[in-house]
Amino acid sequence: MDAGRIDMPQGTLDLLILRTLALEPQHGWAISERIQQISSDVLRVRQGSLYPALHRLERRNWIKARWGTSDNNRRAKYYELTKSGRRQLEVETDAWEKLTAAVAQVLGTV
Amino acid sequence: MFTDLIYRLRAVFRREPVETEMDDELRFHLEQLVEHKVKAGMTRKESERRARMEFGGVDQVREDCREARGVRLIEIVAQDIRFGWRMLRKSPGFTVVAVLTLALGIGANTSVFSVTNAVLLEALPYRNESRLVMIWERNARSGNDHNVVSPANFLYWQESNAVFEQLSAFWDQEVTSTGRGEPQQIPAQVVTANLFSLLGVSPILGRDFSRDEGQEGRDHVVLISYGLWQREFGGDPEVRGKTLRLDGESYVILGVMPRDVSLFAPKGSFTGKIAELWLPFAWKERHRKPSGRYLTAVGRLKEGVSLVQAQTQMNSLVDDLVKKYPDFETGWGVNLVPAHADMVSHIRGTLLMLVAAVGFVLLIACANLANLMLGRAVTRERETAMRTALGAGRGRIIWQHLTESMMLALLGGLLGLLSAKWITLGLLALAPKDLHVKAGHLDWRLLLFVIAACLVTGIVFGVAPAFVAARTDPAGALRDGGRGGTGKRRARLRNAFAVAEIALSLIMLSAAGLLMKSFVRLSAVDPGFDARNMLTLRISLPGSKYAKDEEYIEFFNRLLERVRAVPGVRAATIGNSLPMSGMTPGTDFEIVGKPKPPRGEDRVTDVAKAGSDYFQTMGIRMLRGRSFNEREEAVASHVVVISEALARRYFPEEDPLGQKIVIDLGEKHEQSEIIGISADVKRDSLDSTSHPMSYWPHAELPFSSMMLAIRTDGDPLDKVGTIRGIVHEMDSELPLANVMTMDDVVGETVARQRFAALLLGVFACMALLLAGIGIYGVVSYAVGQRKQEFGIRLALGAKRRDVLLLVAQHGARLAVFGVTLGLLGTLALTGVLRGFLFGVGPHDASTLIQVAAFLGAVIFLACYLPALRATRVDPLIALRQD
Repeated sequence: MDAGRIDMPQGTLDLLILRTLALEPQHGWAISERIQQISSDVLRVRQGSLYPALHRLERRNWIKARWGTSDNNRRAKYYELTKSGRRQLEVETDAWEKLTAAVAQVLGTV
Repeated sequence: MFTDLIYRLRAVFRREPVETEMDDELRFHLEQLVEHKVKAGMTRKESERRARMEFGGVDQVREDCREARGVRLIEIVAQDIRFGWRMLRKSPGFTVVAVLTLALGIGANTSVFSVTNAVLLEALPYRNESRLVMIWERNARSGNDHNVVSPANFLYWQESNAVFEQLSAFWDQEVTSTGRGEPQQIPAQVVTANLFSLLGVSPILGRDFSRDEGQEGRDHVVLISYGLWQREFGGDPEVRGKTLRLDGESYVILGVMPRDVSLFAPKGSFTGKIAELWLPFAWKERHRKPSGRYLTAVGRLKEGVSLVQAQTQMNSLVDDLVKKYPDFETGWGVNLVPAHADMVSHIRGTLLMLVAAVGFVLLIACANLANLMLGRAVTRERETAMRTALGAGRGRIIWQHLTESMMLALLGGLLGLLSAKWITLGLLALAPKDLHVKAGHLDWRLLLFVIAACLVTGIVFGVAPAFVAARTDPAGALRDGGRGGTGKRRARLRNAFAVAEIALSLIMLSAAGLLMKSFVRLSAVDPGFDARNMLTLRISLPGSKYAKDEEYIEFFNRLLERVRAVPGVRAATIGNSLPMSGMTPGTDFEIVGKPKPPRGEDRVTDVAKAGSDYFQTMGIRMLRGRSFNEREEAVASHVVVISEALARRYFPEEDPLGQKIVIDLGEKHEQSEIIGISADVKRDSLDSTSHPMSYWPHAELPFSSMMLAIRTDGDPLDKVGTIRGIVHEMDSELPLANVMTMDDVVGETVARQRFAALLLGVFACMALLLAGIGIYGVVSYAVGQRKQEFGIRLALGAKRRDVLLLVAQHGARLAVFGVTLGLLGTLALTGVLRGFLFGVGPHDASTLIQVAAFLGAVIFLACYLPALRATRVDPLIALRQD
């Protein structure tokens, strides 16, 4: 494990994917790149977890997939947020904020 | 949820495109990764190598994706089923034994359930049947709470209650049908005209009685049952308006009722038969006078009125009646019972006992199979270990084994469902007629039951072996073929199952043993008369042809004379009701010269009419005095013979002979002298008590319907033809009814007990057989496991007897544990049999000891065979193995 990177808590990946897709439809590679960039290389998504997560989210009907063309003119599978995905994102963001705030509070007082 | 399912199914059924898409997607990702590295300044070759390393196992990712898509679950099940099928086919012997055992267990359960379902659970075929209530009178003194109802009381209830929408009344009787071939007796019901509208059933053809039908002049109409319509009229659609000759008079057919709508109340029926036609009954002024009880009453509760409310109001109405008619009503009450419960009360216990019995059989079958499966788990240890080593998880192994047991259960269930039909037929053939058992149709409840039985069975016998299999230590199993630490735990489990089987069968055997002993005791009861070689039959003279008392007397005397002259007939007599052949009328009586007893404590006696040689023919002993002579039989001479029970109860400290009594039956109230005392006779059945009884000569109380009792040489049924000929010569329109040998009459009174004892015996034998096989299996498996040990022992000089003893010890341990547990279970459970037992307690020590000894012998046999095999172990061969 490279220094400076941390393991993602369970379920966080789903939240990050949903958040990334909230900006625009993306393919898998771009999603992992985006998460890595925005987190300044702290969070790195392994494809071994990324794709199962995408398939799981698709099964739950939070994202849907269609085939499109990438920047370099290659056929690529693009994922976009569905309506219920957008709702789920709000719910999960909310929950995450509450959780981190609570954890911070505990850490701050003890 | 729904999109989830669609997605999963798409993933399963459109597998190819989905997989290709996934490959494309992953390839794209890999290419991007390579591009990324090239851009960062790596050579293409190096980039590709590093990218592949980073990407990791493509197969793993693909598998995880599949799992995420939810394909796996369905795929696993399909795979397990395919695999399970292969495994079952690989060991056909095991599969056949398992499936047959289950088919028997589930079949028996299905069949008993189908009967129980049809009788206890299926709603009666009436509108809103849950609001139908039977109304009985309750007699405080005799404790009978299902007594038939007096018309006067019924009329008062009908006019004064506010809890019932409607009340109806009826009684059962047999009518003689003539003019259509052989004269025959048909069970009928005389009903108030509103009965069917109360029940909410209408004729399928023609019309119901109108309200005024039954009034004088409008009472010669009849409704017929579906069965009679089919049998007698071939389902003729024009049957309406045709006539039936009943008891010598013409009745016009109004309509045909649907199948199975007869309201049959066993406790109120005089015939014990389900009615096949209905005659209207109209109230007359004389019914308002309180006298006699013979109606069965049914009511429909008003919407929102509870049974308790109704009972409360009826109680207060009875209080009014007691004030109004203190002589008649004192000591009487009223008892409301929901119609459905009432109709099945006579059979409920027997059925529930059967349900429990077949449940036990299935449990034992499960224990047996669990043991078989455990044995298989051992032989399949290598296979399981291989799968574990290749990455199958514990859950996966358990699931695989459960799938197999489930498949066995379903196969067994399917076969059971097919065999249930035959088992049900056998059950119905054995069931006594008066239980009126019927078979169920294949309805959703039955199907649900079978499916549930399969699932539960599969889990019950599959779960332990599955968990044991999943605990296999792969390294150990692959190395030495499985004689590791799990072996001991497994042996303990197998022993536990064997112990459970012994315990369960002991409970079954005890129940069966108790019922059989009770039946034997019951059959040995002295009925007070001699039932051997005796033919009984009833002849009813229609009022239209025989109106006067003298005509009855004359007819029966002539008939007796001719019957006595038949070769092979030793004696013949008549009586209005022979013992155990239907209801006997009863009445109050007074003793001349004694004060009237207080209200509610009236002296009562059953009333029997008897010919002069009645006692001699029936084999009833005269204790004192004498029987009637010929003159007394022909001319009313005011004499009576009483039974011992009557003498004991009402003449406790004096000599009844020479005293005079007066009964209140018919119009005559003559003082009659007691001339003899006869021994007691069982009136209703062998387990009934003897009632006070008085016998009157036929001339004293002529009756139009009498029974003949004919003592013969040889088989009594051989004489039926001759006697029918004689009767037809005298009157060609008279049918012989209830033709039976007295042995059969007595037999029918214990038919229920015989049915219970027989069925429980059969099921107990099944249980015993299964348990025997189970024990044999466990012990011989253990012998197989210890072969080497026995070999060494024998090689070191142990005698064959010592080895035999070692195996016997194992069996003995199982037996001791099993029998102890079984005895505890028996003591806890057989209390519920109390109501079925006669002359034997539910914890009868000698029965329990005999049964336990019998079971012990079977266990011994089941151990002896494997033990014998153990002694034949050749030390050389045993040691050479491995």
